[in-house]
Amino acid sequence: MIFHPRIRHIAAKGPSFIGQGPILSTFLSLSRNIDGFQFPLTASSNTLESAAELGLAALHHDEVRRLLPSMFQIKHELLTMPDRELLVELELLDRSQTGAAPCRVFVCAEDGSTSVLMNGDDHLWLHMTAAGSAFRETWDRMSTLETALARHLRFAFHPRLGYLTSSASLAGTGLRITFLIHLPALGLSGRRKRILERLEDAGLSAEPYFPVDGKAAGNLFLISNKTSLGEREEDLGLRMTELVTAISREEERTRAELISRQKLLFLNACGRAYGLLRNTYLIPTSEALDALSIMKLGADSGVFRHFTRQDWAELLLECQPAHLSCRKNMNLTPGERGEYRASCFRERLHGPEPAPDSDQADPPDS
Amino acid sequence: MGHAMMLCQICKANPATIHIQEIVNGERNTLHICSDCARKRNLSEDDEASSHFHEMLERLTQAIASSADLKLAELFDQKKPQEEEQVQDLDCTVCGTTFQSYKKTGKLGCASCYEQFGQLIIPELALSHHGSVHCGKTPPETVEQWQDPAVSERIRLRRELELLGKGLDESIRREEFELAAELRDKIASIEAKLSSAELIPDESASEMSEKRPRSRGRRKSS
Repeated sequence: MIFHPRIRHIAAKGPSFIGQGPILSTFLSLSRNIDGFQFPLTASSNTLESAAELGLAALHHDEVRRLLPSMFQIKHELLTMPDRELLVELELLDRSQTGAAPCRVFVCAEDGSTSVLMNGDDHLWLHMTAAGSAFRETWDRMSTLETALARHLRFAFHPRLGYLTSSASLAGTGLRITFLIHLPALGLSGRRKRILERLEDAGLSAEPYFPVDGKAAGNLFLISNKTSLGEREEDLGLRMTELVTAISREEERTRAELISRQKLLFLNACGRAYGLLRNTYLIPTSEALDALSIMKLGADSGVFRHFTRQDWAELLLECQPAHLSCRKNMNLTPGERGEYRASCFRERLHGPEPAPDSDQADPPDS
Repeated sequence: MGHAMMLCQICKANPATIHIQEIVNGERNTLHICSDCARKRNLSEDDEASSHFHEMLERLTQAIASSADLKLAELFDQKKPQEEEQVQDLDCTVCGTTFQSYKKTGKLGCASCYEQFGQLIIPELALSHHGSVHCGKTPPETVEQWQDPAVSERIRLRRELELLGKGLDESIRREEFELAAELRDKIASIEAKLSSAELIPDESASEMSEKRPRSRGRRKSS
């Protein structure tokens, strides 16, 4: 078995972090270092071991365990590379932290909503995911957990610079807020690039979720803060929520316009995407994601009767490389993955879905 | 006493109205000239002075410019090129991270790096963030760290191990082999104590709520 049973178990639960509207997910991560210990990048293995031990002692404290009743811990070195890839796809581990490093410990809630990595770039990396736009609730959970930990761990803190992190770009709050957003209509209208570029002025960045040759496969983007010093966590989160909500509204408005003005072309695109996924025998990730993006557009607009947004979320995860290997429980080559991915799509879309129904295609939220 | 009516010693035509006394090599010479010749001579002297003035101005301008640069550099806390080179060589005395490596990777090695590179990185942080003063969560006033004596003891032992390791290297370098052997034995003894404790148990088989982390080291101390 190439996957850790705990990780397989979380993957089997499905896409709990993917919501329904254009704003699919909210991810929060908080970086902290333990006072008096060198940061992991320069620390000796003895120091890392001490930091991990202190971190675990704090996590096991009754006050913290009450907040995370169903957590488990695994030494990072015991996770196979496919395990780590799967964790990245489940949004529980950052891709930059998948490499081998001494004394790393991965701690995770069984429901897949919270993970903690010890001795990554920083001694503690607390991470939480939530479906849809959910900064306030997620921050409340995160802040409560951090406060409980801080009662038992002295974090490296400077009165002027805030929490000291290995990356100076995270100094201050140590908080990274990220929204996963689906923007197909703005992409078709040609306005997406300009809108996302303007986020730079607000100290935010927009990156493709699945970058393929510099483009965003599946029209999915990650919008994150680039600044963490000089602004309260709540203020940053609410400012970002406002901006991301405005982009989401613009996406919905553009979708409505697209459907009302070019309904036939829209239905044609939905039908072709559905036809491709239902009848494919070999399909690479990027092509699958682009087709799924149109399918989501159709599902959001009521074009499909049987293909729901939940189906879409499940397929979005299932078509990714580590999920395919996990499902098959064996390492797959890219060619084998393309074939297996196609068979998964055929299996999932074999139902009696009729041709896209032109009467059902209504502009969303109109 | 006034001068008697004299002719200009240069043109020998006009009456001399200007009388100039020069002392050259301790000898006093007197020159009586008319206003026209004086003007001609003065003009040529002005030309000479003018070229000197331009040189001086140029020098002054350069001096002002360099002093202005200095003041601007002070104002923006920038370093002059020579100082910049020195800055590039800065390294953290605690973790050894160099300022150059920070510039390359954006990563710092320990909390002290923020103190030691502070003058250089704070202006950068102020530009790339929303200012250079933290506002947000702060740590609680009381922290109950170090409560577990077994954990504290292991942390102390690991720190001792690192110091002994440095001492061992140093004693070998100085060829003090008796001391090196003594340190080696101490290191082996501490390593044995530490390895007897399973510090980070893998809880893949059972939930944390069912199994709290215990180690042989901890049981020993209780």
